[in-house]
Amino acid sequence: MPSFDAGYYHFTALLPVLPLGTDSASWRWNNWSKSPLESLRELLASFRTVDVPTLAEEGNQHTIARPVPFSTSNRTHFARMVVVEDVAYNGLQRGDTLLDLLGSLFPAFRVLINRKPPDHLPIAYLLIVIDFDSSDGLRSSVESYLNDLWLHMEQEWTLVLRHCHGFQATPEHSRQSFIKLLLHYEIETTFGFTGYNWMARTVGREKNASHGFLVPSLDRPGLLILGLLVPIAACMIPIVTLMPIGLSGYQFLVLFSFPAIIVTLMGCWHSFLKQANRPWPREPHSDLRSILKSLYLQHAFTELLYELQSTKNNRKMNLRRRFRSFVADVNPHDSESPTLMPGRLQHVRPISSL
Amino acid sequence: MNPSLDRADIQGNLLMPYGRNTFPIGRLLLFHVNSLGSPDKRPEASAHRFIYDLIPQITTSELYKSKRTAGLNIGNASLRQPPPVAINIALTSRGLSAMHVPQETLSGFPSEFIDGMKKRASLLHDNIDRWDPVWAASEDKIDILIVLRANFASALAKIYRMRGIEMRPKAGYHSPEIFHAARELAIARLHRRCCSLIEAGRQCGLLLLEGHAPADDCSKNTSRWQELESLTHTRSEDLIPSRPFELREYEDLSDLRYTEHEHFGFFDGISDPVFIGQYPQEIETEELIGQGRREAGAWHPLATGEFLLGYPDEAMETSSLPIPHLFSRNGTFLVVRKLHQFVARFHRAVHEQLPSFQSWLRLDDPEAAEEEPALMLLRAKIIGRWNDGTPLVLAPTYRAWQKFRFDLQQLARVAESNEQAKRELTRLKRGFRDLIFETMDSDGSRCPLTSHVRRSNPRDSGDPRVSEQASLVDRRQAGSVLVNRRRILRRGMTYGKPLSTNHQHLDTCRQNKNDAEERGTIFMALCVGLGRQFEFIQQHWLNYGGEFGSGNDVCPVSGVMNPSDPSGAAENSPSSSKLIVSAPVDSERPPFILKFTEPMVECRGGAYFFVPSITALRLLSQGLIDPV
Repeated sequence: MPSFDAGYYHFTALLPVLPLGTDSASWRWNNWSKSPLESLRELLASFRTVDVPTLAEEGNQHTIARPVPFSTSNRTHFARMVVVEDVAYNGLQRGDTLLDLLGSLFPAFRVLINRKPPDHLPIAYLLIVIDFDSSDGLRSSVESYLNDLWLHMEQEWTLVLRHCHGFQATPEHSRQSFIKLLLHYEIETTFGFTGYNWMARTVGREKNASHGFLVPSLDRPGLLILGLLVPIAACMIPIVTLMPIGLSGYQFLVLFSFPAIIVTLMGCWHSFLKQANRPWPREPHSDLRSILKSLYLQHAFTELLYELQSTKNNRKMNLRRRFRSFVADVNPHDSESPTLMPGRLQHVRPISSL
Repeated sequence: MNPSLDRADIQGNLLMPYGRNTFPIGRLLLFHVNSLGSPDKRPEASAHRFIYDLIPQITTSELYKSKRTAGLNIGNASLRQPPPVAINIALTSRGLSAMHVPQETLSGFPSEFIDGMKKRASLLHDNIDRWDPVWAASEDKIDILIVLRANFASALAKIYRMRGIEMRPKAGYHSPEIFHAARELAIARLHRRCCSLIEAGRQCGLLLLEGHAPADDCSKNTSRWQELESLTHTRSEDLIPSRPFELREYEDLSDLRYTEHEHFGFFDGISDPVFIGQYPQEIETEELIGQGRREAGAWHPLATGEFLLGYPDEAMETSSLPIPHLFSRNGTFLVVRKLHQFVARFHRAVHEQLPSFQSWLRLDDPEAAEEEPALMLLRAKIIGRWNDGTPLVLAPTYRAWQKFRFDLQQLARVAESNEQAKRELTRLKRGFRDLIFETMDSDGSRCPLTSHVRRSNPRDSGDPRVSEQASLVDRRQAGSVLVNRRRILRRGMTYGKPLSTNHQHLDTCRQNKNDAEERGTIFMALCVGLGRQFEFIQQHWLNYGGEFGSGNDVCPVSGVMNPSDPSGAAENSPSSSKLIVSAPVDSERPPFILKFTEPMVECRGGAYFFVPSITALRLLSQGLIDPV
């Protein structure tokens, strides 16, 4: 299924950017007109992507870095916003030497030489790409995610969407308008940026190997034979049932066998498309919260091992006690805390933040 | 057909390294070109003149008489003796510009070279505040690098001749008296040559840049140039004390030789890439085992274009070159980095972790848990090789290593007269480099996946065509596809006096809190793609562990850690780093976790240089570079 695979929704939208002079002075600074594209780019560049100090002064003063906008959501794996000004120039369309020759010999042929000018986008677009956890990939779940996003990033989205076509910035309409706008301009994609599922599968496979989950459910030769048998049976059934009525071979072929084969092939094609469109199943524990938690656990566990291997008293009772307190500290089943924080390097959300 | 390289046009130390015991003493000089001479009124005494006069003195890659080249079929020409002092020259991008190389030619150089290492320090996680003055403050003045290396073998020969004693093999041990006399002679020759070069440079408007030591420690005498010298070992240090050999009458335990060990005590510089045309055919077949490109179960030489400009590279392309072609062909790029080694800190850190490592070993091998074997194994796990360079993959336990060492030394003693022993010795020595990880150690239980050697040259591990479930037969087919374009020719040298010849002198290490004394490695690497080859290794393999499944953990010896200085250049570096040592396959021990909280190596300066061919140097000195 486009845009949804393995429990991740790959949201992609192209929002038309307002051209210069169409908007009121809402995003104009001072009295001077500013290129809307430059204004939008400057705005996007001002959003933090990671929480390390970007300027040397900031680092020296130990000022608190502004939060990373998308880090407030714990479902967002990846987010990127880019202004797409125009399509890349790929060179002129190739001419036809023969037509060129004819055109030069006989002016009447010149109408045939219709070389198209280079392609351009009529207006600039804002490309929004967000990969997030979604249980079913349905529209309602996308809406609920966007709703969440609005709650955490209202200010940023309002500033961004003021540059785009069709956004209503009035407080009573803004949230609805944001969701509607993004859904309206959404495009389907099969390009995802998030791919932890294969990793989760490798880990899961080792865990499940002893339970025999590795055995494939249907063997391939069996499926092949089944696929051949069905159309043959579809042709045979009318022959067997209708022969006694006395139809000749030719009449029989036209009346029953051809339609039967066509219907069967259409059915196969339909089922093939349906199978191909089915999203890859979601691997357990491949959502962002589980991944952050497991990275945190991995780090905490190696720290524990390091601590234990340097202590002298490694009696079973002590080990057990230490491990119990470790489990109580790291809380493995609670994916909320303590855990790593999205968009923050080497930051742990402590239990007390609950 | 393999190209035959014009060896006399290529600068020396490039195709084959100057041996660390043939050329164990050296100096590194940095010059600034006073840009007084403009192109139109070029005075006779200019940098151009200096280089023009230097050309005949430059050591090239031509084959010299040595043990290695003894049986070669090279036609009628007889091989010459190597020069008493080898001289080589390289220029920074600023230097080329100061020499009035046309802008169009300069723009053809790769951007990493044009920017220089100082501008790219943050990418390499270097902290410029810690650089020596000569590299940091005056980096914008560094134009020309001249490296001198004194020939110790010829000095030895002279001393032996003077005393009327028969010469011993130059790489062998020599009595301390002879050794020191030869060293003095070599240093005197080097110094004479060095002074005459500086004087010639001064007359041609070249300014010698000073400050090869930390700013607070720049005494005039020591900081005018960077001294290089290999470390020495006595015979007793190299012998296995538990299984003594009977010494011959002229042998003594205090006999000395120059060794290829570095300051932490490991044998360095094994396994250098082998590329097409680098060696004569007879040598190549042997050399490429374990050092070339691995594909379908066999070794092949790498493409010449990975190490020399003007030849096709591993992607079968000739990389875009500065024009004219003649100027760049047979040239290459040189990375120089002064890496200060915190030797006392390293020994201290290893000893701190030793008791827990011993109790970890004791779980199923009490014998290996004794102090000496455990210490050696712990050190080997960090590097991936034992002290003498024996790979962990080959000898995973202390006992196996001792046996390998003993066999090697015993064979070496009989090989002088016995042809079969000689062949056997060659086979055994091949073991130092003939490694493949996928079949020998795919899970890292012998050589940890994040040990230094496995990080800097992962060989065939991680070949995407080999799945995790692959059988041993399939694994044998694993090739070095991920590594072929990330190889560098290493030509490093140590500098500074060793801390203590015996690494067990813990007291010395404890007293030496700040490792202030100048001591470390001048890392020198040659490659065509500075960004693709050198910087990639530094950035992705040494300063990050993602590709080895260890996240932010950096290389335990050469990775950058940032324990205390959050506002420094390396703000994204982790504050500590772990190395996971897996237990042997048949053991039920949990993995051992080694943790370092301080960096063991620190970059104290460096730059990128262009090493021109002899032709290019002539073009440069005559002002004949014409990009049209």
